[in-house]
Amino acid sequence: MVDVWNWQLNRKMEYKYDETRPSKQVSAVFDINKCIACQTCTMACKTTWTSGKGEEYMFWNSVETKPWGSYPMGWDVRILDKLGSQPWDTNTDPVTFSGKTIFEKVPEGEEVEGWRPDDMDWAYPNRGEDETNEIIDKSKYHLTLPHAIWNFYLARICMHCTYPACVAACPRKAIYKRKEDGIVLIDQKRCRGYRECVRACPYKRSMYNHVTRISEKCIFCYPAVEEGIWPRCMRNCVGKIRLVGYVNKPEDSDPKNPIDFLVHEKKVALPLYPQLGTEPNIYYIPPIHSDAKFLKQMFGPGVDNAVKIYKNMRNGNEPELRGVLLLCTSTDKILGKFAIRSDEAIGYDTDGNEVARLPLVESQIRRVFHDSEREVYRHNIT
Amino acid sequence: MIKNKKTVIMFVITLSIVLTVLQYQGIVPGTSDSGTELRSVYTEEDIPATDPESSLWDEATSITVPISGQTSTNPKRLLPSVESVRIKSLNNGTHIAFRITWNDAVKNSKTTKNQEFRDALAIQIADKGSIPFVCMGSAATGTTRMHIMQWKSDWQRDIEEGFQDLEDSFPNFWVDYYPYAVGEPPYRVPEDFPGNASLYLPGYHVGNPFSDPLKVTSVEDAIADGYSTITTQAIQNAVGRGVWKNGTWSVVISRALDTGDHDDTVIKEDNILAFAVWDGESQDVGARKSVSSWVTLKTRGKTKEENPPYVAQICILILYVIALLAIIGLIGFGLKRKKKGKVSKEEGEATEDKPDLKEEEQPKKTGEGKKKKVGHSQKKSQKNKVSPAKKRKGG
Repeated sequence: MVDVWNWQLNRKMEYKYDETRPSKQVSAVFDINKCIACQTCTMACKTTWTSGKGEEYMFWNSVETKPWGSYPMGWDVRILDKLGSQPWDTNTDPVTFSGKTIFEKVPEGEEVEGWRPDDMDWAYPNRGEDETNEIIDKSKYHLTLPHAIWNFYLARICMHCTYPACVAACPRKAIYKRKEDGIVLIDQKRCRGYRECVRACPYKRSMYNHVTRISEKCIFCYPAVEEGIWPRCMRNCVGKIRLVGYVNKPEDSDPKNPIDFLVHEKKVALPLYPQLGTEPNIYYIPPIHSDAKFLKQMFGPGVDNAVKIYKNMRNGNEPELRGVLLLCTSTDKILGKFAIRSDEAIGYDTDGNEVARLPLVESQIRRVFHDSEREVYRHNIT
Repeated sequence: MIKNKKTVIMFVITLSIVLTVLQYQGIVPGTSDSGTELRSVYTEEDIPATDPESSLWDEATSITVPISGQTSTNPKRLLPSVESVRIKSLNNGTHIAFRITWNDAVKNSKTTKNQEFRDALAIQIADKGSIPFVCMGSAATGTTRMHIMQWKSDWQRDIEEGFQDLEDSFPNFWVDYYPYAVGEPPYRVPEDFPGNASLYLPGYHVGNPFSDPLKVTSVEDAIADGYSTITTQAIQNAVGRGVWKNGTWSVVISRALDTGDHDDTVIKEDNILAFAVWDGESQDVGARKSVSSWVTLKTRGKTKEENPPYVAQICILILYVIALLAIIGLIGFGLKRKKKGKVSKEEGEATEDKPDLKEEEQPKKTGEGKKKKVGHSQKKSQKNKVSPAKKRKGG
């Protein structure tokens, strides 16, 4: 074990290998507020990568309803339970995680704290769908903010972590993190089906193929990424909740890089369960109307700030933030930089070519309610 | 009484020497013991390369090797899942077979489900010399490259019962159509599909031996140069088979002594072997295993090239018997002399031995001084050794 710097924890932590960050790190921001759990991302991935025999139960991309949904069963609560208390020291700025990560609270003889789901754990990918946090009874039937009755949808893929638990746990060294873009891959030729990665990954994104008898995982659609194009789940997102790019360390943050802007500058996009210690690279804009205590456990202590800024944007402030989030809706090219010019948001690819341009406010045409030519009343006038 | 005692001692000594000689020659099998030396017994017959239940195994010496948990690298197995293995070996001069037997209450021979792990057994072979690190050797320390043969219960089941497919583990499961897996294993991709469609069975597509549905051997022939390096060899030379009966696995792993494959260690006298056992029921896999320490392989006099012709063998045997008689004679005289000495001491005549000792020292010096005539000096020495006894007898 060596000490490595995990900026999400604001401290050094133990890891199996030295800190060797890739030259670029692929990343994405998911705006949970916009997700409707249509599972189009899930099916886009499924039809592209896991329709083979032995992959029936696999969803490299899944969307679960929080708080009750989970795929595999109890993936998050089971690892959180193993870690025990996960306190943050709020006396420092930024706050520091003072609990233990999955690499630090490890049973004797293990590399990583973890657990291995069995077939039944994988068998209910949509369990808990649309269930609310509590039973709706008369006393809570009215709406308040934040909602007393709530749920939200959590879309998940492999986090392509900076410190992947799967990489640390694989005794075969069959899993590697690509130097050029930080994508984590299982070498299908080297893997011997030990399932140590399945056991170690706290997000449970390594999956065992029943027929080839080795493990597989999300590949961040690297053939597309190499062409500068978004992964399938991101491109097909109906709710346009996803934005793909590259994330830097906070000290190297580029305010004009859309991911850095959301993660480091505005701090509106947060890592999922940062306390696990893997420095995950998929970030979430937390839902603004759900329970803050629950959200803090999930996304760390930055939740209040993120919710505040997002609400502020909805109130017409934060035009830059609005512009960046709008770029999600208008391109499938990986963005390197963005610019806000008067009332337009412009996206550039990693080579600096313009790939998206859209107005911050869509122009509207308003028609009269009554069409005198046809002698009819219009149902929709905008 | 003393005479009887002497006879018993002489008998035991003689018997042990004769047995050693005969075992050394491979004429009689050794007895079962716990040890670090495995004697491969020569047989004229075809070795039971895939039959752990062959009666030929009765001819082989069995050793019991204790097993401990793998605690060198993570993930560890802190306590072993198996206490010991019993090992026998046979060779016919060109091929060698090892039979390993261990207790295992539950047979685990499938790896289809997430929670299924196989029972398995591996032999690791290295040349003698610098003792390599017991876990897969180590390239970093410059020690020997390891040759590993791992028998896998699930591979054997695939061969004997046909590929254990999804339907075998999930009989009530149904799917309308697999666009990328047509027919029986190995699955075909429809001809009008693009070439990369076979990626839907990625492990199979890239040629991972674990993903091959049509296996030809239950024993993987592999090499390793330290942790994380085990690699399936390009040429597979090992065969084997296991039988699970009444809570016991008996597994044979066999191979040509010299396969001609440069990735294989040539199996010969003084090779060192280590054994590893995986218990599927305990979810053993990869580094989660139970291991033995090194065992030395003894094949001398067993393999064809080293086995002298029958006549020569008899000559050697006669020479052994002559040498044996000489030893017995010497021991006899020694005992007598000791007895005499004891008697002399009791009688207070201990001083009489002094001149004898001087006489004994003399030929030794002579021997050292005339190195070229060692034989002669030794003869003289023996003669001189005898004379004091004669003297005593005479006195």
